[in-house]
Amino acid sequence: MSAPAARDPGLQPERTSLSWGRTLLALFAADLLIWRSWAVAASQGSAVPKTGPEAGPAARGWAGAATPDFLGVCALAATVATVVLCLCVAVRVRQLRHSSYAPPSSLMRWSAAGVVVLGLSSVAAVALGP
Amino acid sequence: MREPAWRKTGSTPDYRFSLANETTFLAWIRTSLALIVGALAIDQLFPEIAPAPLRIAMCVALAVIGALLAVLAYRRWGQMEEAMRQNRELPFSGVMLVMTIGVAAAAFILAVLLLAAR
Repeated sequence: MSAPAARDPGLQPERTSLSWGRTLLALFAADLLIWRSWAVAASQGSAVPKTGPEAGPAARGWAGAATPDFLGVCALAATVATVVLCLCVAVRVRQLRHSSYAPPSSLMRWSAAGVVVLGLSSVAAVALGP
Repeated sequence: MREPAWRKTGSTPDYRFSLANETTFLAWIRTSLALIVGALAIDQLFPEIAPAPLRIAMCVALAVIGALLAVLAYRRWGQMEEAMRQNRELPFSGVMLVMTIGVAAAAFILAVLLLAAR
């Protein structure tokens, strides 16, 4: 099939670009909640003993017998997913500016994989976290 | 990364159909994100909404469904794109029914919990 006309009357490429942007915005909202939860948990962990008589900072969990910082892992996963999706959006929006063909599969795979990693790390944070 | 084999079969579909498929994929990804964030929000912001085992089970279920949905979004995008290239009928998916039942069940449980908490 030949390349579409210079301007699609239904503005489909523009809608698709906006849809990518919307998805990135949704991920930013998720980031805010996750980073906030992590910060709150870290500050509470350093102030209040959680498990034992003197179980202290959440950070000590890495070295000690307490649970590791799964919310921290979740925050890291959120950051990685955001960087990956930012790159995907940048590439795709640039492509959509001058062509309307389907995206490469790798782009879709990467953006889905970022969300999957975020999902799995939040399962860990919910199930194993404090 | 390698392109899957179906990319070389059939003919390129009308670009509008491809773009519609892409926006559908993105809508599923946003749904998946919403489920993951919902699970974390219930767990982190409202820990007293239910006894811990019930709360954790509910949040884990929501987050697992969210992660699964992102995988399904990619798989379904590929299936749709392949079907359009082959000029075949679009594949039927049970995801909609499962999602409808799942989200309705989650909403019902939340409503009961909120009422019980009063």
